[in-house]
Amino acid sequence: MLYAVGKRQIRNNAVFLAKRFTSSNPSNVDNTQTKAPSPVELVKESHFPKIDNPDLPNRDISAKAKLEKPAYEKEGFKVPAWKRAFGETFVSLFHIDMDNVRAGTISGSKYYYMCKDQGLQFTDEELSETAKFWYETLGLPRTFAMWFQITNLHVWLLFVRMRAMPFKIGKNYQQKLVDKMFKDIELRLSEEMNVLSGRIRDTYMKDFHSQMLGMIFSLDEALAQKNDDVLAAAVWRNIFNGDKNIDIVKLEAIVRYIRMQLYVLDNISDRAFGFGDFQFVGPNETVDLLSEEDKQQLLKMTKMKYEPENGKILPSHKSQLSLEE
Amino acid sequence: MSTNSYAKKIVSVLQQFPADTVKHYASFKYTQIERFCNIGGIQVPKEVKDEKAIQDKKQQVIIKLDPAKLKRMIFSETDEKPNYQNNLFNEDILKQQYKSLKNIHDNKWSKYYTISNKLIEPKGNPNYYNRLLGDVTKGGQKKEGIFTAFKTIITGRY
Repeated sequence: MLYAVGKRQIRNNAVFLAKRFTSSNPSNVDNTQTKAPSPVELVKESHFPKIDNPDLPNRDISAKAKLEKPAYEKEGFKVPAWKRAFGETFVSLFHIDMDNVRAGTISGSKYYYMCKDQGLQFTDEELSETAKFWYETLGLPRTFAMWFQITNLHVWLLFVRMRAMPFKIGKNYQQKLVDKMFKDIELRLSEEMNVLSGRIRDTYMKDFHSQMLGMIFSLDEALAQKNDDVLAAAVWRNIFNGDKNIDIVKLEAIVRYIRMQLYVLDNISDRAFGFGDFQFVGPNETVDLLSEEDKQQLLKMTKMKYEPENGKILPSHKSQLSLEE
Repeated sequence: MSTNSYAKKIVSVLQQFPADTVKHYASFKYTQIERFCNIGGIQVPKEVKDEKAIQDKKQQVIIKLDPAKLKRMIFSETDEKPNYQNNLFNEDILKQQYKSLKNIHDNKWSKYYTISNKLIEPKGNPNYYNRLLGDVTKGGQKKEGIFTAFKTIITGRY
């Protein structure tokens, strides 16, 4: 829902941005009241020279075997009609709590795949649109550890929203997301990174776990203090590995990226978020501010989609999640 | 304006950054002040030097055998300083860096994309961020009473 509105706004914005950047008047660029440039555009304006960090491991291991995407993760996947009908009957017959089930199917599957795909890369393979931002535009090293940090950042963004859901449901969503992440990391370590010893894999996983706790703590602290200074420092430590020769424009771009995602997450209702209607805004896109009217329109559209008047709700679509908040 | 004056401006903004509430492996504020002092040819402030001395002392306690240091002692090489590549910086780059740092310090983006109380005081766990901040400001040293601890364990809420 929000995404649809976001897309439309982005398209308007793109036209506006194109106009603004082609105009020769540099005073336009400084004007903070107008539309904001996307994170990619912010970084591309920087003239910072490339300075290598000798402390940074920048050796990518080529994957032994690439994990095949499961069928349900591919685009255009549809459940056969008979399975659907059987499922609906089952849910209504046994009064299954669908909010509980949805934690696994939405948070543990859909949302995790979204986080994972942001920075996924393999040596000698072309990068996806989002991965280009992290590895090419920002110049981060193409390593497994970096992929983990990027995934972790996106997991945290979702965590912030999940905390604002009803306690029991939100906690379940968080749990499923983390479970799936570590299951996936273990699989990747053994299949792709060729770590065959279970004991060594466990040590790595413990390491990743403490990294995750540290990163989530720092970002939470930044959010609680409502201060971009703290957020920038947390990003510098966790994404840029404490690089002394940091380009501060890049730091600003990520701060902007995080704030933009939080803004979208803030404006999406529990119901739409819980049903998997959220998508991360790409780093080359920008979100316009929503007016009060837009917000009302958004609520109306959400209500129309999930609880249409005079419309039947399927047993699997029943939910306690709020449509307003 | 010259590179020196921009570096001075950057350092003065960096000095207004809050100090880390919890000690991390590196401090953004202090490392960057040192770096831009070096680039602009300004004297490093005393507080930064003190902080660095404390950090170095800590490192000495943790790493008892440092091969690089031993090698340096044996072959009496001079202490190598981090390479900031000062020659690459010009006025234009420093101006951009200053602008970005100022944007961060002025909370430009959090003001632009304001979020409501929905995320700051999440309804599933309204006290989450307050509790976190309360702990952080006390350096994580605050002890929890036995009853509140039990409540936390049983309900999972803070």
